[in-house]
Amino acid sequence: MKEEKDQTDSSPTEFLQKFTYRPFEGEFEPRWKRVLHLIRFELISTWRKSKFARLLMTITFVFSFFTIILSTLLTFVSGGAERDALNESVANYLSLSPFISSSSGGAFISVGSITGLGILLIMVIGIAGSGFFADDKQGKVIEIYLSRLGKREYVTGKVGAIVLYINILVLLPVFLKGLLFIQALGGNHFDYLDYYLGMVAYCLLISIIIGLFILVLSIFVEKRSYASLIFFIYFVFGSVIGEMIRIGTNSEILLLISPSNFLVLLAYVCLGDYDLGVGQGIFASVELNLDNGVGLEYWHVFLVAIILILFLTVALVYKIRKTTTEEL
Amino acid sequence: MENILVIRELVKSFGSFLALDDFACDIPKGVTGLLGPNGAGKTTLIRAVLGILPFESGSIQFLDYELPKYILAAKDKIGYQPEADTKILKVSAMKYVTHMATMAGLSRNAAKQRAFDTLHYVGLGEARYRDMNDFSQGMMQKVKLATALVHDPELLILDEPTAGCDPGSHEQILNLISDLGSTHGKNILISTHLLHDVEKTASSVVIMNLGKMVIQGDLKSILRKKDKIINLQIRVNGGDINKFAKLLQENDFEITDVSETISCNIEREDDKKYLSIFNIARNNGMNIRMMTPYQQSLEEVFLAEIAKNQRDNNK
Amino acid sequence: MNKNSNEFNVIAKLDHVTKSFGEVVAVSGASFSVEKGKITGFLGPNGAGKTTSIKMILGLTRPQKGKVTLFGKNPFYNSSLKHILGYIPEIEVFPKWMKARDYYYWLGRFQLTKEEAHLRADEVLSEIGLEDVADKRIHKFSRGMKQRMKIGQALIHKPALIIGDEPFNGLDPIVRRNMVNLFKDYIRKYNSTFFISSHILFEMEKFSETVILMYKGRTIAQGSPIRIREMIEDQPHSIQITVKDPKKLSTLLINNTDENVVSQIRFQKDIHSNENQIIVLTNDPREFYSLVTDLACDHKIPIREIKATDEGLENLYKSLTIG
Repeated sequence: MKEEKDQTDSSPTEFLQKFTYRPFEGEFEPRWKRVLHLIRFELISTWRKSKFARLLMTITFVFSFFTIILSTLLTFVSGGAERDALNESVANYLSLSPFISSSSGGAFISVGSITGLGILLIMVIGIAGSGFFADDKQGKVIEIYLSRLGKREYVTGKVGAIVLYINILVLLPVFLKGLLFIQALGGNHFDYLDYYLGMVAYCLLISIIIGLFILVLSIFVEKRSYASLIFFIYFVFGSVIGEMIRIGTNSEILLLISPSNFLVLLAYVCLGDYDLGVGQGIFASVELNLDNGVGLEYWHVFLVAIILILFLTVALVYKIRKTTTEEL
Repeated sequence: MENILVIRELVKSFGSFLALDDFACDIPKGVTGLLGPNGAGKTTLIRAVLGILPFESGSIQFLDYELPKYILAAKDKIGYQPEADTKILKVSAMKYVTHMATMAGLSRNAAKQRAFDTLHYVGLGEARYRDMNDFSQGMMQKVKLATALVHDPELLILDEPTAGCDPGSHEQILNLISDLGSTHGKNILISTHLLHDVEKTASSVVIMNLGKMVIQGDLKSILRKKDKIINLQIRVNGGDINKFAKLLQENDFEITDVSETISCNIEREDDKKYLSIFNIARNNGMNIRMMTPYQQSLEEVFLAEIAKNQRDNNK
Repeated sequence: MNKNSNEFNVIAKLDHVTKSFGEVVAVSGASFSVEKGKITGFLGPNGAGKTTSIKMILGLTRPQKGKVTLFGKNPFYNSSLKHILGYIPEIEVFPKWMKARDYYYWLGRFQLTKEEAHLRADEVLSEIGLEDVADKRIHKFSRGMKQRMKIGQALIHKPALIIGDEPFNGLDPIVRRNMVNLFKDYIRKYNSTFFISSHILFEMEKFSETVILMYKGRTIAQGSPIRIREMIEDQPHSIQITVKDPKKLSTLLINNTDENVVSQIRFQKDIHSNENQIIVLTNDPREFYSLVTDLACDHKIPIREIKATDEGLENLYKSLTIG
């Protein structure tokens, strides 16, 4: 580079800099920011990768929008049933159909538990999350990721992305629904603090459980389509068959087999509502008490949740450790 | 510091298969070729240096970093071009390189600028917004090279950087490697089966086999036959080549082979002999079309060393 | 271009062939011939028309214009010709779950008897160096081993013509040399002919005597690299001379001839040995070589080396595929 300095000004008035490689003179960011970049990239990729996922996501966003608006209009719910209504809206958000309800008998309206949203959400989560590891394996990019990130950072990024994704799909609409509903009722939000806390806790818990599950599937199978298929089949058929088994044996504990029922029960447990009814319709429901010392108890549900999280984490860590050289 | 990588007694096995068997070598600064038959352990070695695969025992010293203790810091100074084609669904070259730059620790803005720069440098400027999955092999290799360069590392590890390239891209990539090595002072380790590439770009080589180092050193000295006697390749115009060979023999030249060219042994410094070849040609109505000393190629040295290594192992 | 191709010597031929797929023209008025009994190299940039030409020779598709002949017949309408044809494809073709020996036996059975098929399966496995893994399943093979399997499957029925699409991809130098030698063995023993398409020019230069260069759908050149270079008239030849006293020789050259024979002289030093060298550009190489010999003898100049620097395949490829 030729420079000639002007007498009065120190900036160069002439130079020649050929087009070639330039070194990088900037700074490197702290390592945790890389995990954030990975989370961001994976989140955006859920939209980018599959046309079908885009379609489903758009439909669910629109549906959620309507149910949120709807919740402001249902102000005729009263008589102490508001809390039940709120609880039910959270619990049934991901269920396949409302087999379990807030109390045995009693007339109330479920706020925005439009059946079908559960299936849509499960499909969206399955399709979006199925590729997190499977696509990387197929595209042979794990190697290049690991040449820049540590294994822990890589996995944290993936887990963070799916957990965030599920929370956006679940926590956000449910939170807004509850907020607007309470607002429309003219209630004091601080009176409902335990509701808010329980709802947030539930959403976080299930985002971890469902997130880990789809990630484990994604890392064990070869293609993303296998993972999303297994995920979907497990949820749908698992729920149907689980429910059939439970009805056949008439056991409370076996309620937990059906993934859909499990999610509903976990919600009620997080929200502190142990007085439930199970069965279809107002008149056919049978009492289900989670705190009566008999049958299914609330701590069973918690236990199962924790066991699931541990099991899935172990499976994930195990598979990460054992990624073969081919899969890289 | 003379060496960019110092490796000692590296051991790595996969189940019962010993991939790296007390492997040791010194990789000097500059461009080095890493050669070896399939299964020699080259990829395993590369992955151990990059911290992608853990190794059982031994030590790796990269600049000031002792691995595996400081592996994360070391990764930031190494750029890797893998052999496999890296594909992410529906992503343009620009997005891919930018993303990988952020993975290496750059901020989003710095990453974008660096990706832009490096993609242009490797010659993909025009195609940078195209979907990577449509790329030809030559373009794919360039994207991978750009990815390896984006965080301006001190050491580039390139695994088969020209595999599958059409001749045009092949030459471009070799020129880039030479440019990076000589003009920009980058240290480059090239693992490849295309020995000709190494001949053109590298200043030193490491040959390995069965998890062990066979020979390492300066490329020129490995190739240069320091013998006093060299082997000349000769072609003539204006006459039959066999006739010329006979004439040379009659004049006390040692002929070793005659096919399309004559191979003949001669003392390197014997100017009189060179001159008499021309004289013999002219006296018989011919002229010299080609006369050049036989250059030992890296491939020959490679094959000879591996053969020797196999023999030693079989003892 | 087809200077001495005797009709009996030509095993495959394209004659003014044009082939398009929809509006995409892949091959445009191309002609070349593959001669019997040697390894012919096939080269050209991506999209030059090589794959389409090979497909036509294999009888998988036919041209819109021109004639394609294989063993003297039209390959598209004579599917029986496939029996004496072998093809090494770029992609993987085998059922991965099969064992190596079984796969070769099964392939062999299409044309050979049971005993012959067994024999050939073992023979070919040993020729490609995979006899130790004959009973292992192909999906467990490394890339190099799978590549060898691809080569082997083309050889089982000892075809008269073997067409290879990048057959040495991914092979290490030792295996590569073994495969080239194997091809040469097949030429000797079974009169096979090999038509190899490859991007690796320095290698192709070593194993093929003749090359066919395609570019943008047309055939640009056919012949040995040296002959092709000789046929290029509009480009001066570059000749390198290593000599202790370059000034003396260059002065003599300039004084003893015209700008046609010596149009440019450049001085340099050899990068490895640091010896003095001159590079001369000439439009009349034959005259130039004669002049150099004369000057060397008359003025007692000991020339250590004289050789053309642009006859290599890489140089030819570059100069013929610009624009």
